[in-house]
Amino acid sequence: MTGTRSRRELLAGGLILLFGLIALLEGRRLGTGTLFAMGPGFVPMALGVILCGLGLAIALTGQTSTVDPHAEPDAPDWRGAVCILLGAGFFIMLGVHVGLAPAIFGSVFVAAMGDRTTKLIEAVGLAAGVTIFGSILFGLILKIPIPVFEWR
Amino acid sequence: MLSSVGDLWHGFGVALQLHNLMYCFLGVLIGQVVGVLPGMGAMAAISLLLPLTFAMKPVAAILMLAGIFYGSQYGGAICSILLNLPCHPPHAVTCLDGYPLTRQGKGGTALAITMIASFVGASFGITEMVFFAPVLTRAAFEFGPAEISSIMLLGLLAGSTLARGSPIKGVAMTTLGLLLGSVGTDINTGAARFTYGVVNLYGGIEIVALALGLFGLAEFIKNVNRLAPPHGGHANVRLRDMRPSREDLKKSIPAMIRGTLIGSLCALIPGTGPTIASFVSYAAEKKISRTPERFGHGAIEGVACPEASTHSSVQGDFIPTMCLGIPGDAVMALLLGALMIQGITPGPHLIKEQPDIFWGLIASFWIGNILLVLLNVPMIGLWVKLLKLPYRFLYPAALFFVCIGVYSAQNSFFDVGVTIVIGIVGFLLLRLGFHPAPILLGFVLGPRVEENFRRAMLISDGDLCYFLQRPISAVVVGLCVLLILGQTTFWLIGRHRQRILAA
Repeated sequence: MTGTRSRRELLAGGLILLFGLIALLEGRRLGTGTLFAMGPGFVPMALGVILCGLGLAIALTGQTSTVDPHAEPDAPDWRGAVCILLGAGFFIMLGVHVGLAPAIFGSVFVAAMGDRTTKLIEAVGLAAGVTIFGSILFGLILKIPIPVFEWR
Repeated sequence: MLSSVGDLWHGFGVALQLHNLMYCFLGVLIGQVVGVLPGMGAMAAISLLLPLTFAMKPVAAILMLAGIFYGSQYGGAICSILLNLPCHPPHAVTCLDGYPLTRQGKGGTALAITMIASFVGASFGITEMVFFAPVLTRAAFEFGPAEISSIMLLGLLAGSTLARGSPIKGVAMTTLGLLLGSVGTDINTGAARFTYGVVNLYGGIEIVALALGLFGLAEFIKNVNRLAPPHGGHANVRLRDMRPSREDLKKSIPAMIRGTLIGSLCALIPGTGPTIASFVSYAAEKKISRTPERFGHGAIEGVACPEASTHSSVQGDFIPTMCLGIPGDAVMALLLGALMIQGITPGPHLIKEQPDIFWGLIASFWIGNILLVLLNVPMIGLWVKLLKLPYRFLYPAALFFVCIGVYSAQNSFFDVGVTIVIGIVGFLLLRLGFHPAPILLGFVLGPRVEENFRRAMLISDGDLCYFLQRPISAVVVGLCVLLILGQTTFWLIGRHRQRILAA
């Protein structure tokens, strides 16, 4: 138990350290200037230093003083994650090329398949319902600048 | 004093205008619906609806967003008490006694007490705002860049260390938020930061994309296949179940008053939002109770007290947000962001220059809270039905709203892509035990911290001691140091105790 937790803290610290290093690099590229005449890189540099320090602190102390109700020791749900992200990706792809209605259908359908208990027919039904609702509300009433159907 | 009452009168005039009243009602209704839905919280509700308000007049927009916020809190209470699913952090405490009450078949009573408590707490919070805000504003006119920078620093530190989870991780999240706020063209030098040649990033990260990535996509990924389908066994509440008995009222009214007072005190300390208020008041109530063993097993006071204190501190939280432009938590940061998109910078000038917004907002709080009580009591059956909507149908539809919401903020598919990336990072952060809410706080305040810090450094010829030479600023810096020292001490004590236990 403690072994996995401290590994998690190590990873958490590492991630923050990574963000800090990215900030440091960008800060150096932009030039920090002095306190009186701050360059555009001053703030990124300062934040980068803080982040690096915090990252190291998290990784080294492995602090678990507060009981975390959101701690999930089990493995992530890859199917759900991939489907949700793909769904959002489909929204962009289909929205750019074939219009609003296919984009809604594609994104909702793919995302719905992320749940292990949802049947194919349920996903199709849900996607169709949201597509009709969304196309009417956003396409016809609110008139957002994506055509309901197109071919590009 | 008297002028405040007069101004409030003016505010009621603004808020009762037909179209403003309509937006307020629409806001609380949508907020209530989204709040009730399992797995959807206040943050998701506000950020989803944010793009819709871009086209509105500022007064209508802020009335509606505020309505969504407290509407979703009323709705979230239903979800927490009947299903034991807190979607908004302050409700975590309400669950402790609310859910056991539901299992004893007293869910209706718990809901009724919650509503009364919320209303009492909110009313007190609003009164506090009416009289305290003008005083704070008068003081705030004396603030220079040094004071503003130090108060912001205190707000950021308090907001990140006093919230949930580990304080170091909280500060890391706030710092990350500050960093994300600096993406784009630097207003002082014109240099492009963190854009890596991507033209779409020159304008910075869209706030809606950030909020929906963190509180939409990342939450969906966290909850999918995890959120158990709601079992409606105990959740059958009808209107006549809601009448609290005389005994229940007798127990909860003093608890409500104590909760309200604790909540309003918490609101005055920058960075201590409703979450802390609810925890503190629950702990206090348990301590002074003659029968502390009942807490956690369905004590009605355990529902009344945190709800009253949450709502009084929520209203009080608007004080620093509107008067100083310094939000206490992520929700306030989002509302502040919405105002800034409308071209309005909250701060001491707001009350004088935009009395319609400030006093209209305050008046609308009362109207909205009354509307909510009216909405909740007779329609409780409908809300309970909404609870049974399974998450597996909910999140794909919500995903569509996330995509279209982000897109319509700037009519840009690029922003939807940004949301995906932020969603992935947000999920990683959640898995690693971070709470991403302070990111938003840092993001909204980032550019203003930088601007004020830069100004202070220009005035003082680059002397950092300037912050200690101005009395108000020095006091605030002192508070920051105290906060850090206090947190470190607590941590060391906790670690020491763990060592002793382990040995």
